[in-house]
Amino acid sequence: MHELSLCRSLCNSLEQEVLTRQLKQVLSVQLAVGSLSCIEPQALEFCFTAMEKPQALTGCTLKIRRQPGSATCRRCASCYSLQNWLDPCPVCGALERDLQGGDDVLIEQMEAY
Amino acid sequence: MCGICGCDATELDPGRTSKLTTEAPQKVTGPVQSIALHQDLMHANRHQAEHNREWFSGHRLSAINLVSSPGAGKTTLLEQTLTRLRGRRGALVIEGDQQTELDAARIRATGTPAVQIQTGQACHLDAAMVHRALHQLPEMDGALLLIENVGNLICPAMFDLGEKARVVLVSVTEGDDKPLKYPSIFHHADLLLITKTDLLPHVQFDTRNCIEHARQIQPDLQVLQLSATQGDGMSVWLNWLEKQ
Repeated sequence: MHELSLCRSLCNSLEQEVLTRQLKQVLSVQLAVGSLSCIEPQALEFCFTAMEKPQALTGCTLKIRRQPGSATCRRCASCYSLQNWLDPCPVCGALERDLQGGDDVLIEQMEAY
Repeated sequence: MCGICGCDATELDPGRTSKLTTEAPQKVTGPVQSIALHQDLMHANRHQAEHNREWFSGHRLSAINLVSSPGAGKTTLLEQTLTRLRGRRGALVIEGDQQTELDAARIRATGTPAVQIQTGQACHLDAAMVHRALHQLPEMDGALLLIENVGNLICPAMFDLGEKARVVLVSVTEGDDKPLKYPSIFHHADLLLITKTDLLPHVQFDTRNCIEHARQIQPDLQVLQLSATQGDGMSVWLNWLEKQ
């Protein structure tokens, strides 16, 4: 259940922002979850909701946007986006690729006062 | 409707907001700001991993992160490796398991200092756990640091420990399609080690298929094959370790 560890990281990052920016409350946070990351968005939602959070994050809603992966084909050098590790190159059908992104998670923005 | 529990959840839509919340929304008492962050969620772990890497470099330690599903033979490989390394190169071991000191006890029986991390709820090692374990190991400049991760082919893929190389083990008693089923961990690996090769006559594992699948996911993956209990392939593995 690495989603719980990630939610703890998320809370730490947001709490740091609250302190640095002298905010009172975070209302929502938006994540961009890479389609190739090992993260199950529903598990992430569940953990974020169920876990004990600092006062400044109580009631905070989590918004998740899926970010497709991007890659360059090793065989024909086409650049393409992919939702799944096994999506082949749409031009030549090869799986071998250099990945440029889509296996990470970004905290994109938050709404706070 | 969901066929498991009857709830109204469907496939997660992009941009969907959690409906699970049981906490009352806060009463807004100030002007709401929308703040762009663009922060890597793994930032804290990456930062700690970089710190570990500096520490390894300062002590000329070669850290190797061993990952696999449970039962692929990581601990047996370590026992046989450490026995053969004796007198050639110093070694230290960090063991990761959800519970028990059993693996660390097996490693210590070879005469190698070992620390057991019991992860409890967590299904992987992270860089901070490794950092804490380093403080419990004796200083041994120039040694190999072998880190046996929790047996799991999903979660450890995301957590950089600061290692120099990541080795993924697949035993021939598993399916040769493992790289396609768990692509992320193979994508992040430097070496595929096919283990328990002495059992090949008794199982339907197709080694060539396994290697082909793994290289579709990670074209630069090196591959070695061995049987830790019978010794086949161990010298090539030890040579690979020596070069790290």
